[in-house]
Amino acid sequence: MHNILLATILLPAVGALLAWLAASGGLKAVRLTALITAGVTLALAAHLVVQYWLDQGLRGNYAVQEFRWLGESAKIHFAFGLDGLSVWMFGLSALLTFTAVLVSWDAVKDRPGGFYALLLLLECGMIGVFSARDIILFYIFFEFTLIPLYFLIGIWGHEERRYAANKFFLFTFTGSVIALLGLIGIVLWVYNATGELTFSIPQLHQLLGTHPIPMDAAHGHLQLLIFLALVSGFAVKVPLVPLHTWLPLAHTQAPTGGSIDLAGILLKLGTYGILRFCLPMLPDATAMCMPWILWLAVIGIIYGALVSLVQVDLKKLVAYSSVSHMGFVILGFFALNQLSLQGGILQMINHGFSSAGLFAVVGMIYERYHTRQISELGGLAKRTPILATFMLIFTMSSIGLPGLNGFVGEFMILLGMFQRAWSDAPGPLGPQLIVIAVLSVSGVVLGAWYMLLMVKRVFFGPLKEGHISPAHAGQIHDLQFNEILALTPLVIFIFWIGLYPKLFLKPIAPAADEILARTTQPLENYYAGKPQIAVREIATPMVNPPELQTSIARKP
Amino acid sequence: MTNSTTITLLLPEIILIGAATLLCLWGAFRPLRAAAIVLALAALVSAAIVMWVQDDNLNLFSAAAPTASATGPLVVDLFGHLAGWGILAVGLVLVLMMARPQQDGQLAEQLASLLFMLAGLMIVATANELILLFVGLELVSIPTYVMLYVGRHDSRGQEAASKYFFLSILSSAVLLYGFSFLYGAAGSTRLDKIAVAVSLGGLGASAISFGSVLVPIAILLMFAGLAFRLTVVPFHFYAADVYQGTSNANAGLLSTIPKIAGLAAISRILLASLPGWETLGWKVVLVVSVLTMTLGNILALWQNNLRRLLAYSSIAHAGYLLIGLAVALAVRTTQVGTAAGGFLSNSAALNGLGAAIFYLAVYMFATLGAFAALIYLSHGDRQVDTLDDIGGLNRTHPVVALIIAVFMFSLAGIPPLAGFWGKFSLLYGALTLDEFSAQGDIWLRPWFVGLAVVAVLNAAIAAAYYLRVIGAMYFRSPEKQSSSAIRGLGPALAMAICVALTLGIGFLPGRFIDGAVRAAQSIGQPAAQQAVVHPMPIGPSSALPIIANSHPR
Repeated sequence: MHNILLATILLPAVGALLAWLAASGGLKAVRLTALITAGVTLALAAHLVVQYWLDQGLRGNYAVQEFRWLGESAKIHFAFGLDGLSVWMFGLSALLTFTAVLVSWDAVKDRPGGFYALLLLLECGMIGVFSARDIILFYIFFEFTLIPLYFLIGIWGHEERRYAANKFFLFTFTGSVIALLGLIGIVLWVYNATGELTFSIPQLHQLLGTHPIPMDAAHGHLQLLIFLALVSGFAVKVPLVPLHTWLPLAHTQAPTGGSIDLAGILLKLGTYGILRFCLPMLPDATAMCMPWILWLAVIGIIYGALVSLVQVDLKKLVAYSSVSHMGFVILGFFALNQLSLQGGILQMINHGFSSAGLFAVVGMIYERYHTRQISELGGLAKRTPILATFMLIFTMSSIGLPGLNGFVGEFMILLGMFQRAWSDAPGPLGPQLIVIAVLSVSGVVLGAWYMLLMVKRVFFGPLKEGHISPAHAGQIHDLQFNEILALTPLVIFIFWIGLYPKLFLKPIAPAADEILARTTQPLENYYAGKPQIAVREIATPMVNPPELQTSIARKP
Repeated sequence: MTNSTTITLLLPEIILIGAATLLCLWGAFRPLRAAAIVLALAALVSAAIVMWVQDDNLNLFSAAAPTASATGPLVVDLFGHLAGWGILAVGLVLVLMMARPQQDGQLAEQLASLLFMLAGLMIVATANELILLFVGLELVSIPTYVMLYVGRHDSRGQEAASKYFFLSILSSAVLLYGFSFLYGAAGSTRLDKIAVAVSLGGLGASAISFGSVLVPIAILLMFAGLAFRLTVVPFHFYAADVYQGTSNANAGLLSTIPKIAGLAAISRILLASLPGWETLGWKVVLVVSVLTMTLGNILALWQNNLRRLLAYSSIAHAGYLLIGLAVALAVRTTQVGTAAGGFLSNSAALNGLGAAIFYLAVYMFATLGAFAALIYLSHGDRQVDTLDDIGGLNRTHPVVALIIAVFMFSLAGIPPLAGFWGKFSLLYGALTLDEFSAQGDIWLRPWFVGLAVVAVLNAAIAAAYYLRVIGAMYFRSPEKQSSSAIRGLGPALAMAICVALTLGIGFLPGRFIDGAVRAAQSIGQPAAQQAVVHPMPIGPSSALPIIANSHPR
């Protein structure tokens, strides 16, 4: 068990080397090497995830593997393990890399050795982040993911790839070096307070429970400083408005395989960081900043949706929709409510499936028609019915159609948010939170609007096929076997999570409860002393909140 | 310490100087290039063997290392010894960088100059005497002038050589002037005696004495003189022009050897021998550090000439080094961080100087490797000069491009490469100070948190120009087919050594950081504080373990 986890992390790196070496053997050898590596990694990861699910008793201490790494005296360990927060993302990383390899099958013919090597290195980084149990090891993997993606965008991307790659790198690098200060700050505080120098995440988590980082002015607002450092780092990755400007560019310019990993996993590195460090380790600062971050999240939801509405470029539309959907995830986290937090964690996974699927399909359209302009396409459902079917499923998942996964996540988030706003508002925050909750619902409505509008224009109506001459248009083929194979697992999970979410929530729930156990008290304490504005008077007339919430949330 | 033991201790230096003299003489008869290179390498290897034997005899690496014996002109401690190993490694890389075929003559003289410099550096790192230290520094400087002059005959090369020459002798003069004040105040040229004298009658005394006026002047002058060698703002401005005007090999030399000399001399004189100046000193160093890294990084953003870009990058990295120095000084005002122990072990805060030493090593091998790659790519009369010259390198030389990318990412501080651990240990040091000073001296916090924030923002700025280099190699198409000239085994080997170290330190940094920290601890504290009870501004006078200092808030 322990060694399987280690193998899952190292195998992609080995495979990357092999793929690079196989470059002399031609395209086929490289593709096959990459596919086998990604496939075996996926099988190992799936095995671990299933075992984790079956063996709930282990909970946080699953498949733990620790090595002394930096010599005898050093406390930084090469430590891996899975827990409820990371187990699904861990599996998703392996799955989406497999998808990315299959999707790139025919699309990448230029220097394939490098491409697949980088894709596998990226997988190594992503899996590493989700399984690291050491704070520095986490950071190393977190930042390492920049390198492969930088090259993937810069070499195999579209027209503006150089600018996009640089912007992506510099934005996220700036964020993550600031986050590094925060991570070191946590370690040093624990050392200072307890005399124990440790970089182990579970141990830090435990010690911070008994020795919380002080918030008062006498200590220079230490916890707030650390919180701001971490959030500014992770928020760039998520991305939270106004730090999102790198994302549409990077997404649009990246090759399809890169976009899939970027949207499906890399954005979640930010939310995962917040989930892992900010909420449980810095609960007081979380409580204090809660309304601010909720505002940013809801601004992101609406802004992302509105910008999506006016996009003429398919890929950019999907990219901006990511801004909107990741806003929901953050909203779910910072509502600090049981339902919303579980929903937020689930939504991370949901968005992984739907956005990866959308980017994959958009990439397939681009490969066939060499255009991403919505105005140049139309009626594709006639030409490529299977592709259109997949697109429709991913779209419905993205806008939260009941029965599909997006609905479960968004519904839980909104329900939790409304609970927090109406019946459980801390101190004077009530009116604000109600406004936030109501505004966030509009994101769902707008989301349905722009996605359906896009699907209508591109797939229905009169046939428009870009600049392809009618003679060539006849040769445009529908999805091939490898493309169907790539997309099918995503569709299976979209339905599975949508129809039976309990299965997926089972590992998430205890992890989420553990976080909430940390944040509940600080939230009450922080807002207890504040003057109570007449929240209740506003809130009480609106009786029967559950019904109200349901009706609003079901609008799509 | 008797004369014979001194000679035994100096044996590596003697070997190097002997070989250098031989090369100089031999150079007049135009020897085979290969023979000159072999002689230089042989000198390095035999110096290394002697040092290895000394390691066994002196037992410096063991946990129970004898305390530094500083009674003669030489100090025997781990710092001097590890510096010696580092210097030999740098020397090896530099010899290999020069060893490329079809370079115009006078290789023997160049190698001789290099060996002189290495010997000078080793003397600086072990000197316990102002005059010996100065001789060591000049033994580094004077051959540098020769190197800069001999290599090139165009007007730019001449300009670079004369610019460096005039500014360098000015800085030497300033340094010597500072030494004279120090001698005046302390009455001795021996560093251990100076330390005792200064702590008794110098800055430590409350009454305004002769020494309390002279010593600050001396410190200021010495810092200025050494800052020139570290290319610290405002003594940096020669670097860009000189690097650009000279050859790639010389630029590699200038970006490493003067910095070793500067850091070693600062450690020996300013850190180890002058108790008391830290109360003011850390602020000066901190401000200079911020200025240096910011200016260096911002100016580097617009450079198209690679050597100029790396010159500004080396200025910026000097600023990072000073973070460690500021931490080392400020730690002394707070009575923490003095306890023994390795890197990140339970019992010790990270030593600022140790981080600086480690950082210097990491920086040096990445920079040298980059210059070695440029030498490898240059051919005939044509040197690789600008970003355009390496455009599309990924297509023409994929392995070299990959190696340069590794160096650039390491310089930018991206894990899992060595540069990340360099930045990490400096930041860790700065923040440690913040944490531990928080009990008694909350006033330290804004300074060092601010410093750490400036440092990471600078790391982000720096990433921008390192990415320009990488982008040029990977995202452009090659403009012209480079001819398949003879590349040379030497530069290739130099690159290989540097890339192996950059990756090796990146994946297994523990030993290296431990070594640097222990080396720093072997000199980190003024010797006088061990002998003389010297009241510190804050806290108890004895060095307490850190745990005793931390109480729950």
